[in-house]
Amino acid sequence: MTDLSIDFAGVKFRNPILTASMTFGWSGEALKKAALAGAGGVVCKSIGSPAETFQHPRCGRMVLYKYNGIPIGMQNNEIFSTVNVQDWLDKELKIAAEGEAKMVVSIVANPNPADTADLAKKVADTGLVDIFELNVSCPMPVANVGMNIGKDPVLVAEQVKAVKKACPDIPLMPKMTPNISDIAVIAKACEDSGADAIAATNSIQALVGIDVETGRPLLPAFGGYSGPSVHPVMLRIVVQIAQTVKIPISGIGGVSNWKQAIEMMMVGATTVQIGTAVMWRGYKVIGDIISGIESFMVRKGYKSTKELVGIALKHIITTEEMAELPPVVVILDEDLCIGCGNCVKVCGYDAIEMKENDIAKINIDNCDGCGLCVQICPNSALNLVDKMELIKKGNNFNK
Amino acid sequence: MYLNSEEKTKSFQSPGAIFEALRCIECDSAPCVKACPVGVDIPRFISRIKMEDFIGANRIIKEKCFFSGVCGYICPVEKLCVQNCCVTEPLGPVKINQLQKFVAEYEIEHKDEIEKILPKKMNGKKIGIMGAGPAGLSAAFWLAEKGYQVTVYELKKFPGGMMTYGIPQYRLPRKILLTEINNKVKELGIKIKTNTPIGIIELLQKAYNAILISTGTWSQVSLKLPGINLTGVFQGLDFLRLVNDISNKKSGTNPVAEKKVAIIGGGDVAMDAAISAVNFGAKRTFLIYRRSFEEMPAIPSEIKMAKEKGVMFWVRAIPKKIIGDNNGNVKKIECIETKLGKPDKTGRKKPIPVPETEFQLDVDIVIEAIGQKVENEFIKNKDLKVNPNGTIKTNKNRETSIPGIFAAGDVISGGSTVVQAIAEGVEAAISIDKYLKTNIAKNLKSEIQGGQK
Repeated sequence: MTDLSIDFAGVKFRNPILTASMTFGWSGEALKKAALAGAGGVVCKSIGSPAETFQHPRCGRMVLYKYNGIPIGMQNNEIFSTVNVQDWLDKELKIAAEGEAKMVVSIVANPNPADTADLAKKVADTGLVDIFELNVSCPMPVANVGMNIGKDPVLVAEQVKAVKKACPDIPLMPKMTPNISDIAVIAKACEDSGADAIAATNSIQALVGIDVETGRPLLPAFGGYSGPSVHPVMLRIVVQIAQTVKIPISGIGGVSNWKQAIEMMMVGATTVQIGTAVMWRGYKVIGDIISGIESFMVRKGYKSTKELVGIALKHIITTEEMAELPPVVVILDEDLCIGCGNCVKVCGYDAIEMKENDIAKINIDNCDGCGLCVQICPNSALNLVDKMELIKKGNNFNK
Repeated sequence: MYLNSEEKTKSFQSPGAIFEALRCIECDSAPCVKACPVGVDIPRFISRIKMEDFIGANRIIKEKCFFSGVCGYICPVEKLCVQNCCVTEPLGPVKINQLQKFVAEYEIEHKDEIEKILPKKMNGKKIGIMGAGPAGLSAAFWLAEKGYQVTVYELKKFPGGMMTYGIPQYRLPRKILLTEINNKVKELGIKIKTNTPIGIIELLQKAYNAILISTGTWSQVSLKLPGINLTGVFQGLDFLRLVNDISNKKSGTNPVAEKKVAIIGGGDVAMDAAISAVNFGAKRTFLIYRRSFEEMPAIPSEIKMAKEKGVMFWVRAIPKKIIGDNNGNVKKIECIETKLGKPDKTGRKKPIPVPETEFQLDVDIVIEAIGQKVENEFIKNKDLKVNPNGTIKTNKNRETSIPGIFAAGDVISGGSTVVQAIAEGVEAAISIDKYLKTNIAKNLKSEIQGGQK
């Protein structure tokens, strides 16, 4: 039997998929729905913000970023939970717990670490917290919270230490901001000051677009950018953190299907959080992602999700090291060439031309082994092969 | 919508399937699901196709419908899910059935990717089912999954009922059908006894805790025209069974090759017979129907296909007699034209013959396909209440007048679609499960005997 459960920071999740801290973590009811839809854990919208950051824009605060009409990203200018802490403590957390998923409670790091610690203590007293997520990463720089704390290793360390001291028994997972140059430094500071896990990351600070007809921005303030188009950036970040710290990582960023979730795990995330996918397609997408992971594991013969964690890391090298690998060149399967000439169009090295019979012809001497044409070809007629081997075979790979 | 059933059953490859799936907007109201008799969660399975989780997609379908591939092929979707699809312009509704067919066939080809289901613990209760058609098998599968020990009795040589004997292979490849049946039977350890005629009394003698009757409608309605006994007159289902046997290269000689054929009727069986006649080399094929195209009950894509195949439609005509030659073979069929009057009991306009409009068609073969009815000696029992048309009376739980005996499928509906039979089979199974959980476990034999005391 395929075992989807996974141990994360000492907490056993029934599967590695968590709903992230987002709109659909607004209330206990929303978290309960996510849990009933199958999520292994649920993260609430960050609670306990200082009074002055309590309000968020209500004049349209979410805009999709579309490419050729298809949404590939989204900016939001949403800040923290607008439900006050007392309501979360009195009822919302209780409702959320009815879903029987693991409860990850996201708390706002207040400017004064002692306030954050007080907040954590109060929430912990409900007995409903499995893991704390510490929001030091909201990309809307209001006052001196969010990423204004998260970009400074010293400030983050103070927060982590304060919360750990107040609630030593509850695993603590600070959530990183991607809007700095080296996240690994922050993650290391968290680990060194006692954090039990790292959540990586919050959304990318962005400006989603300009209405060219009016010359006005689609959203007038910088907000957090998320969705499938941020996924490659987040994979890179998770790798950097995984290479730096030993504590487990909860990977976040653009995961909208099972394949992306497994990618996250393979680069070192033990759990995976999904946000925008649920916002766009509803709670049922959680079940679809889990089903996909299960189908994949059966197909590949994986017995347990923990076998997936970090297996891609050992193959990740630097570009300098990559340049030492043997060069490749492109070859053509003439039977598959449909004569569209798109490979000629995208070749920056004049290595491909169209012959008179409408079939591509490759000049191997010019080919620099970039591989772009192979992926642009609509009929998989091009392939990369080892250049040295090809020359050895007299430019005919089939010999 | 669909041009004809050939287009409807075209196969997708995975890139095409994903492309088609992406057209589904996964609307929350999901009118397609509401239109599906078994309630397959259509947006869900399509969502999984988008994610390339084809096994997971079929898992969603099979939660509600054990015959995922069969329904993908033959469901009258242009009257159900596809007709109700939210997506319209510019490419028309999402081709839901083709997507379903794709995932079902994918699963058959990638058996090793399915997680082995551990055998359920048997609960010790036994169920006997009469008739291995879509209703009986669906109930059998559902109950076996819950741990019941199920035995299905089938009169014919193969299981599948109308799916096997009443639907031509150009609409439903035999391989899909038998694979879906056999995989499930093997997985669940169900006993299917084919070639086994059995009556209610006999079944009651055996120690079953509940019985399901799903024997279908195999007796054919006839106009009893003069000349009905001439050589060359067939009943629709017999003809379809004959051509199915020929397709399987089992036996039989082709009766329609190079012949002029007339089909009487306007339903699915009539359309299947007409198209089969063309496929089997009939020189000329007429279809005679007493009302107009508008009232014709067959699936529109099948009517369209019959037209494209060259079937000549004589609508608004009623056959009066079949005329034979000296050797007792069919020679001509005489019909009379009709006009349509006010709606009759069935809600359709009543065809009224127009005097002095008789005409004759030169034909060699007449295939009568005007409907089926229950009439079945195996289910005759004084305690089993039936409706005037012969269908078995059941309450809303599909329970008959005899406690512990349930019924589902065409034998209660009088003749409907495969998907409707599947829905009823599952409903009956759920009721049987409930019945056996609320009634103290005792087998029917003792219960009936107790009643006789």
